[in-house]
Amino acid sequence: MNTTIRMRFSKTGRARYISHLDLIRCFERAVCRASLPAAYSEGFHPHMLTAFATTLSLGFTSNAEIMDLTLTEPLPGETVMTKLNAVLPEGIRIEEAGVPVSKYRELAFAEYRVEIPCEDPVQLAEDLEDMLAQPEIITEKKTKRGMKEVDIQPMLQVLEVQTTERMLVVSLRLASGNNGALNPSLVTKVLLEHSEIPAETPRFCRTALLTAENSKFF
Amino acid sequence: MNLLPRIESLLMQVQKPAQYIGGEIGSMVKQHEDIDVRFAFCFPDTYEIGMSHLGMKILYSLINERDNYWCERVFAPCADFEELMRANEIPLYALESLDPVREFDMVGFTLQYELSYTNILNMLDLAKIPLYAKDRGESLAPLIVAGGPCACNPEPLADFFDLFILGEGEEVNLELMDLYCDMKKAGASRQEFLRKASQIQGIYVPSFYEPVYHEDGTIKEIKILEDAPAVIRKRIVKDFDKAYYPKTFVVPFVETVHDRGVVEVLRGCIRGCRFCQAGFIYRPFREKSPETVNRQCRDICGSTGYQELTLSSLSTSDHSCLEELLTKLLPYTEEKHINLTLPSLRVDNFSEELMTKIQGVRKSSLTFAPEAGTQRLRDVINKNVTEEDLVRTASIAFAGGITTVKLYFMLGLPTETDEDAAGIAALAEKLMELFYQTPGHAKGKQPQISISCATFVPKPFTPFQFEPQIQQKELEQRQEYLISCFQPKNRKRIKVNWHQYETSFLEAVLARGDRRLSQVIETAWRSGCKFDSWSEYFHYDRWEKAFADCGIDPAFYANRRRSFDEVFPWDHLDYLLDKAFFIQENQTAHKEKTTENCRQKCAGCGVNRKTGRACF
Ligand code: SF4
Repeated sequence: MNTTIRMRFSKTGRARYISHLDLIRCFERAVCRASLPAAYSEGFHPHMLTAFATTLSLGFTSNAEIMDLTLTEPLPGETVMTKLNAVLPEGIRIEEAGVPVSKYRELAFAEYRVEIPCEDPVQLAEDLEDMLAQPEIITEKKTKRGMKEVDIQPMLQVLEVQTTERMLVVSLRLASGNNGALNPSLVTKVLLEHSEIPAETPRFCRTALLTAENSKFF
Repeated sequence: MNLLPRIESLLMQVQKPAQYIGGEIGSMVKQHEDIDVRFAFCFPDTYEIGMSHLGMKILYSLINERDNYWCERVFAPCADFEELMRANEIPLYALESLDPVREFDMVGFTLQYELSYTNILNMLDLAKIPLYAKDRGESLAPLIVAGGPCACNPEPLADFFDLFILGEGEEVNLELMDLYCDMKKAGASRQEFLRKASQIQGIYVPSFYEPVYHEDGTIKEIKILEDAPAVIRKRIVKDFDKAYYPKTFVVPFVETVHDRGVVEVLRGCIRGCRFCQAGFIYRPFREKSPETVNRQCRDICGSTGYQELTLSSLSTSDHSCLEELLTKLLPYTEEKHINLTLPSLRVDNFSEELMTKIQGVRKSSLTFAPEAGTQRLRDVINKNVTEEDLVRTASIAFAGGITTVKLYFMLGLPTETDEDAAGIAALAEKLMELFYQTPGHAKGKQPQISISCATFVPKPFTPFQFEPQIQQKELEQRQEYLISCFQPKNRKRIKVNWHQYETSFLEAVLARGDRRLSQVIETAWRSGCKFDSWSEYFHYDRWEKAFADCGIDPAFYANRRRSFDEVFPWDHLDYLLDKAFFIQENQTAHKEKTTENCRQKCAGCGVNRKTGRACF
């Protein structure tokens, strides 16, 4: 009997340069190295049954990625996690494994921690507040049908703002579902256009994937 | 000096950044303080090409098995990253430690094809290592070495390298590193080391030899300067079945050209096709036992997780126990969902049984390499494939549902005439008809037949090493004639691809070139030539100018018939093959006569005499 294991994994360090397609292949090979009883699709070109909740932009780190792996026999999540962690490359780690609860299509939000190294974090934080106070935040966004003007205000929620001497750290909750997803790099782009503070390339880390009811995927 | 932070600051600006940062499964990271000798294995092409190369995988693991040696990988950065590296003064670095290549003890390049030579100079330059061996001073490191098939005539590169490694590297590489390790500890100079190294069989130190030329530009003699051997004999491993083979590979993140498990099943070739350098320089023919192959396949797939596996060699179907081998292997690959591929199957011993076995593992197209269009010319080149073989195999394939056939030919072969070109068209049209005549052919589908015509390049250590390469004009006339031979209805249906003449011409010049070409390569590289094997980067005009600037006529190397008694630039390199054998084979070719394969009858190439062992 096929059973599906859901796992949360992190992608850190050098692993953040692995693209989504490469990551899928990387996991399939890890499953083979770990000799897990993976289930395969039927048909002429059978493929391993894995599924990822969503993609992560190249260059982002994360501790909240979700994937499913279907096995031909039931195995405790703990066992699968230990076996995979023994053979995964540096920077990719299974953090927990268990039974899937929500469906991927219920995904509604993603949370990010964004670090923006800059000269004057306090001023940049004020500029951010300024930007958020506007009734709408219109910007160009890439959609399936090319570039389009959109208002990102309703898709954007700032959870926390911190400043250190040389860095602004912002926690964001962004729409991430079927009816629109917002990439945090677009938010920082708009902010840095809006502000006059010189800043370096921001760093992004995904910290959670959530359903509309704020529940997790386990 | 670890370059990680500086590299990372640029990675988001380039395509496929994961190729520049290491960290792959199987990549060997060691502690600097444990290491006596560091070896940078450089592949003079991009990561996606270099990571597919088996020789690198073997030597990488071999060296890293030794605790006090550390071998790392280096590739040519793609143009986007190279530009950023230069702008930000990031020197060429190795992928395991991310340390600059110039900090290594030995920097080894693999010479896989002539058109990668400018990349070697570009990489040395990116590494900030002086290009010419004579400019690298007295200190031992970094020592710049090279091996691989093109080392059989390394003369065009002689001025850039401290030494070349001839033949199979599994044993001699470690011997060389052991010597280096001892001499490094003793504080020896580069010159002292090279003197000792030149005494190891298979090590060629070019600066100890000096060619003297005749007025007409041919070589008069090769003078030996130091106390170095008069001929340098290539190395072969003592026992191929027991020879070192890696238990794991580095598994790349980004997709590479051949991203799969590979097990080499045999080395050498019994066939003796007269144009094929690989068929001669890798002799003698040796096989691994089915048990060894099976064990190695399981090791590789188990440790890498690859779900694609290939049995590699020059001609896998020549393995004497292929059926047994596959019978043992297929249950494993099926159980593990591993897709097994067998490249380089020959038409003439392609049995129906084998066909069904391979079909079980997915095959959608058939590839044939008849190389020449008429039986006469196939006899000249000793490609022992007949039209009946082709027709028989194609009918089995068509009946099995295959619709795509790729045919590989060469144009410009010795003795070739328009009739041979017409033969190519006729063969393709015959297969087109055969498809419709074959009972059980795929219904409702058109056969896809494509022809690819390379330009013949005469290579050292082949019976055709004496032959001129065809001239551009003649080649183009023959190409046009070939097209005119197709029935009008087939002109659109059969796809024909040519290779660019200049590419093959340059390959011909470099393949049989001598030391006077070093400055041409340097001049071409300085004018911007690199990645010459990639058509979008190939600028023949720059090469043309480089030849002119250096006062060198490339046709002297490519298009001249060489007499049997001419001294060749590679004559002091001994690949276990007799020049007399090549002369005899050349004469047999011009008589349009074939030579039996090594299993049928020894043709007397010299290998058995020189190794002191019968081949079969
Ligand atoms: S010595 Fe004879 S059998 Fe051996 S490789 Fe040469 S031709 Fe073939």
